[in-house]
Amino acid sequence: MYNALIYKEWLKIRWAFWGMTLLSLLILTYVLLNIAYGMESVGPKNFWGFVILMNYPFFTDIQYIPVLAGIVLAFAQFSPEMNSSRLKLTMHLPAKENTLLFQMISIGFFLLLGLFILISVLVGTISGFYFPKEVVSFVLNTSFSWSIGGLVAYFLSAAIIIEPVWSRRLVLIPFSLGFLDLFISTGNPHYQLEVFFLFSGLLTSVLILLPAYHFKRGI
Amino acid sequence: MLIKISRIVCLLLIVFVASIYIPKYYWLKFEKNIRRPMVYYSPVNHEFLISKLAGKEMFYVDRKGNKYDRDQFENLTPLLNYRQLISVGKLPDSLNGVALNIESIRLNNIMLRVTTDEIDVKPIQLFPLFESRSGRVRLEMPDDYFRITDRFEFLDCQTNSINQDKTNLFTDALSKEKFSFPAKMISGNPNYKKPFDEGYFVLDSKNKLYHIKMVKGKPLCVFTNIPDSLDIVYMNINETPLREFYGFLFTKQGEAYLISYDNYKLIKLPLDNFDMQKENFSVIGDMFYRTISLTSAKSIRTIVTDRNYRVVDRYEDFWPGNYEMPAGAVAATIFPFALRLGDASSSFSNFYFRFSGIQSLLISIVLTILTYLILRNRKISFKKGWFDLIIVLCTGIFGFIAVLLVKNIDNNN
Repeated sequence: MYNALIYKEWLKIRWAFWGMTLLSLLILTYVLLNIAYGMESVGPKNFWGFVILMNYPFFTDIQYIPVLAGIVLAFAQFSPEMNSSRLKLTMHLPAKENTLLFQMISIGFFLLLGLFILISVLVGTISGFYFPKEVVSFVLNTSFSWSIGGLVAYFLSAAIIIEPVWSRRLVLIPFSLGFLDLFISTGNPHYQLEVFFLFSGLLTSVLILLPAYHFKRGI
Repeated sequence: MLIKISRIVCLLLIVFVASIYIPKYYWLKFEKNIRRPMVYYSPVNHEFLISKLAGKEMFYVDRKGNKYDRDQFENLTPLLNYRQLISVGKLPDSLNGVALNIESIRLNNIMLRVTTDEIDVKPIQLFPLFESRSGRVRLEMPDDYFRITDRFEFLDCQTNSINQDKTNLFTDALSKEKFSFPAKMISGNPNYKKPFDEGYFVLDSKNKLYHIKMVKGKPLCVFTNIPDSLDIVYMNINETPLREFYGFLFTKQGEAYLISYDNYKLIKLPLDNFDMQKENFSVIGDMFYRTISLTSAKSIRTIVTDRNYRVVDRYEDFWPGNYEMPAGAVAATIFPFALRLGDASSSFSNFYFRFSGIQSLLISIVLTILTYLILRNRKISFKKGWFDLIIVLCTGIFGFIAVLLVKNIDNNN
């Protein structure tokens, strides 16, 4: 049944996923062209100087892609479920509700993980083409929290969409935004919070169960 | 069970976000911008002059309480304000029996400065090595950057590849001087607008300090003889035309030294209990004195020495921080703690936790009792609501908000 569920979820989110992948590739192409232009216009030694000595963040164009991808995928996957309360049908499948929900979000999670790994590999490769490994490490360190922020955005958006009562949504939204802001606004590579980001990011996946419970009980 | 865990995660998320943003917004409204005073030493009347601000007007006072306006201050600090005094024709011909001229004033005026966040930082470990004797007036950025790992590697900016010849040349030169790879610390001034280049001071893996620069394309590597027991934690190299010292260094024990041009002899600065994690360090130097200031968020300590670094005078001042003001007392009562993602003392993003103290417990207890009454009103037994009570007791207002917003789930789960 899990395979059928994967297929059903995939049908819902495939266009959103391919759309976000395409957008990511376009923005990465822009990053690549931007570096090439910078190297050409000010010369490699000066461009290296901006990046190495002044920490010029030549890759910040990718900052909001993961969060956007997370939100878009959550909408594509869960908003159809909420129309006409179709989620109720899913919940009546012969499996435990919580297991079903985890299976549903695991699909979005793995797709996003794949997309973010692709983005990281590509931005690392682009950086590594023009800059030494120290700069690549600076780029990947900085963008790490943005990627985890994308997963958090997905989990939190899913929880907010599934929540049936608007007053509770209005509680979740500002706190979710505040939490998400910690991941995205960290434009500083000098952070020591990787473990926190990873752990708390994955922990937010559990949040979906509470609104789903509200939904099921109609409360 | 999973639903309960989901609810706990939801509560913790709200507590966590609230403990960051509510104090943040509170301080946006109530924080007083405390202007740290600047302390100068007058070579004219040999007194400290402390900058103060009354409204928008800046004035200066000495320790006896005498007030000085800007013109008087400039006349009392002619070496610091020589350009202004020249423009109004008030620069004295001599001071303390020494004739004054622009060249000697300019040469002897120095400024060294480092702030706590500049110390607590991890820059990208790639550095440009300038040609220190190019024969040109201005320095030029080199075409490569170096790193010191298991060898002294140069990376060409154009090709992003290792320049093998230069790498071998420098690696061999360092090996000959018994440099032990890799480098623990590399400090230099990568600004090409500096007056000349003194290269880098590099701490090797055995804590031996080397001076490395490039002279006419060749490596110059000198062991400084600075003892490896010194426990250097920070170095700041800054070329000044005076050529009295290369820069300064701090040790783990909170000592500060200048690295002199006299065969790298260290000059110990007369500082007591210098805390480089909390105090900004600055040295203002002129023809007669060195004014060393250690400024924290709530204090300034200034030590004036003569040119031989013997203490001439000391000054100390304290002022209340935001937490010692009424707004701080209120914050410490309302918020049991506050979380911040950054701190002025560091360049690192991290969680900076501030516990308010025992006074916040009273509010937490009141809120816990209130929560108990609310839960009773919601017909939730103590057995089911104990975790909420613990959360409110431990996290005060933040937990209370969370419990109010996330209702308990019913008994069926």
